[in-house]
Amino acid sequence: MNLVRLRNFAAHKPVRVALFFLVFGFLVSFPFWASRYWVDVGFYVGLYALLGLGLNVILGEVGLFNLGHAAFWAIGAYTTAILNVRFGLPTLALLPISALVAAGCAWLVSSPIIHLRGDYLCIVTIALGEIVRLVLINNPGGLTGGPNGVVGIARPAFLGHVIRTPMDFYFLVWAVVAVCALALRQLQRSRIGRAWNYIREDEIAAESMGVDVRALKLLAFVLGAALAGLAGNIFAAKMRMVSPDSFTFMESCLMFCIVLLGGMGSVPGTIVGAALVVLFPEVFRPVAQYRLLFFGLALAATMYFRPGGLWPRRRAVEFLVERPGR
Amino acid sequence: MRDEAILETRGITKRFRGLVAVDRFDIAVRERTIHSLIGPNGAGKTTVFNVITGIYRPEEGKVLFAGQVLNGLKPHEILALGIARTFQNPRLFRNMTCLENVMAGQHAHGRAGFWASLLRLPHQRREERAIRERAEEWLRKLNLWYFRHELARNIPYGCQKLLELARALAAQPKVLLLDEPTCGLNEAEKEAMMGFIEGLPKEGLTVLLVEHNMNVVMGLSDWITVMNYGKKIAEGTPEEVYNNPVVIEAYLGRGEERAP
Repeated sequence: MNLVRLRNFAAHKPVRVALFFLVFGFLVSFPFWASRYWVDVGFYVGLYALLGLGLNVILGEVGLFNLGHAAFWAIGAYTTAILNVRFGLPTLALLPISALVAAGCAWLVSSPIIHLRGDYLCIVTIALGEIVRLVLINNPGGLTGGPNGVVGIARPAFLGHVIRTPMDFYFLVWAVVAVCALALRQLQRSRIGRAWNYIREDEIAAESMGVDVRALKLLAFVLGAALAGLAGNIFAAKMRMVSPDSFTFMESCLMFCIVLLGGMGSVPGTIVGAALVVLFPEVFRPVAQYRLLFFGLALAATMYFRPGGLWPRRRAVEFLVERPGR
Repeated sequence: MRDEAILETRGITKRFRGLVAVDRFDIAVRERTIHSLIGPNGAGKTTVFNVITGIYRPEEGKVLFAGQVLNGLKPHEILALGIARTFQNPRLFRNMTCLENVMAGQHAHGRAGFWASLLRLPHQRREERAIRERAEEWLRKLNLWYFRHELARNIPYGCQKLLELARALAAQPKVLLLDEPTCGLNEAEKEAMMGFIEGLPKEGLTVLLVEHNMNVVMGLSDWITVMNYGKKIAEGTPEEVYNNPVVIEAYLGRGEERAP
């Protein structure tokens, strides 16, 4: 298969529009013909796509190595759990609140470390992820329920319709993914998105060209964490319980893989990456013991054959195709 | 001696551990001139640039721009005041298009914030269009139009140097710091680059130039400052510097030994 030719073909506007409707139609119709099991899998693809999109802002757009993204996911989930179970706030209304709390925490913890570069930041974020998980286990103030977590989260309700079936959750998560993907596309095509990429490409040159590196890195961190907070709310609502086991270092690694596999700074790439990371264990269930081995091999192979990811962002064509009037 | 300086350093010192890279260095760059900073390799010229642009903080001394002290300001704030630079080895945004690279120059002049960008508000769209049009103008002026949608890393080295210049000019600076703009260029490209730099003072720009190529320096400069081991050893018009025995000993003598 000639990938270059395939991508050149896919760069034409009618092809892109057709492709968009094909994917859109597939995603909308999927729960109506797939089994409940696969609808559930589809939900997790959407959930990890949301987490991946959040990390993609931090890692993909700005190039900040964040290996503790699960911490913000956990903060979002626990915010929903605690405020719902202990204070009775409706679960769906907590969706934006969870995002805000996760974003606020991200701002607090990333402010002092944001100037660290590359691997140093990476190590600190790993520690951050572990600290959050251990704090949750230690049950501060009796709020987080220790290792057992918080149980009995109410089902979210939207205009009187209770979201309970796999199909309901599937549509909830994909609606949020769609809104976030659209928002990130807008940002990519703005001076904010460009400035993020300038920092990733060359931090010294970026600041010399007038980019407030610190402010934009913080913005990326906060926004990425907000998306993880959204994912946390939906996850808590779906599971109806949260426990520290869900937010391990392994989860942060998976999100990292999603962004690397899909293509740094690519919105559709991240969604493809999420699909792969979620579907892979499902497809390889028969050889369950070797799943991680296969997973590692697949990752290594991708990095070898397509170092830019499976669906990297294509800059030149984007300008040629999307510029109206010329 | 020379009072209408737009950019000035007063006794700046920059140390790296034991090494004194810049030692109580003074320079005064007059408005709308081409001022060259020359000296043997390792004399501290690039360090002076990095101190002026806020990448390094000097241990001592002051940097003044149009009467304002720049010490303590961050690089992006210094650019916004009107000092742009290029780098010795082009530091382009390699995986972005040439157009996007030049658009970077206008980042500091943009107003649209997070929400305006997210919602693509009318004023943000207008601003984006203006940024793109101005960037396109610079690409045309520097004959880079052909490469506008090409990734910066894919274009020839000479064009990369020009692209970096375009990016700096797009920031609409008052003072332009050029770090060896003709280094690595062939004769034709050198000519083009020199011709372009020569015209900048007429457009109201002040140029501070670090350069090794003596033809370029002697041909372009209104004023030359020579440094060695972090200190100023001489300054004057090209003729004065050219005939200064101290300079010949420190710089030109050695330069002749390793002829290009």
